[in-house]
Amino acid sequence: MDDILKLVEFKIDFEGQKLAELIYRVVAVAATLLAFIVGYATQSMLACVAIFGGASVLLLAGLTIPWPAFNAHPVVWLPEVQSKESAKKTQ
Amino acid sequence: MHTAYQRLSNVSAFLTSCAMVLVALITIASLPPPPDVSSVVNLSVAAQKVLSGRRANYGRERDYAFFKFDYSGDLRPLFDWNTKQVFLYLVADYTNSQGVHNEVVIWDRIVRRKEDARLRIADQNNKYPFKDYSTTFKNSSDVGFTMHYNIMPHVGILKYGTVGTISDRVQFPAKEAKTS
Repeated sequence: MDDILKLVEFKIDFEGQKLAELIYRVVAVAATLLAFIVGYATQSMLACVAIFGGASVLLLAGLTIPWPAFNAHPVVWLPEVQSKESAKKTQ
Repeated sequence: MHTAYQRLSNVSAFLTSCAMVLVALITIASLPPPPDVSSVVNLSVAAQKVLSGRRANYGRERDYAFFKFDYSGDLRPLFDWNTKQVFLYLVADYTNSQGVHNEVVIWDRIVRRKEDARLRIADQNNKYPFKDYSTTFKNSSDVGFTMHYNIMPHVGILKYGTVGTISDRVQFPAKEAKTS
């Protein structure tokens, strides 16, 4: 079971996390305001719910996928430091 | 945010907060009172009879009053984007022989769609039994009738109002003699 969960973990890097967070905050707030304004302007509760619901589905589905843009900045690790013990091992 | 589960959790939590804000916005936008609909309303009530008896052979024998009314009006202005349905009800008010002022709902109608909001009702009997706790309408005051409405919104507070009232109060008819 853990193996299956790990398979669909869809990890992304730190820059990707920052980007994903920015996207969902901006899109969710914009969708909320747009849903209210359009619903009020057209006097249509259906339009209001459709805009907010559609944005919600898009966000949940879209951010789950590990798009290449979310993994464009892989962490660069420092080169391995040669300590005495590791030096012994490699010898 | 590093795994798909984290992202699902964070996004759905934030969307829940946004939904609350959206609901609050709609509630605030719906706070202004509804438009006046009393200018396009006709309401007239005629007394029919007062009978004495027991309903379903149960309880004390008491008086039942019967009225017929005509009503026509246009409730379409009450339907905006946040209206789920409109509850329309006819209230009779009178003071009984013991000096108690009563308000009794004797008829109602649920209007679900704007297309059904133009009502023309003729010769309508009261829908609910009109009776007094003191068992008799003897020495009661004349009855006034008022059509009320209650707007039930999708989101927000319920709004109450009156559609129209009859100009002259109606006298309770004399009790008819028992036939059986």
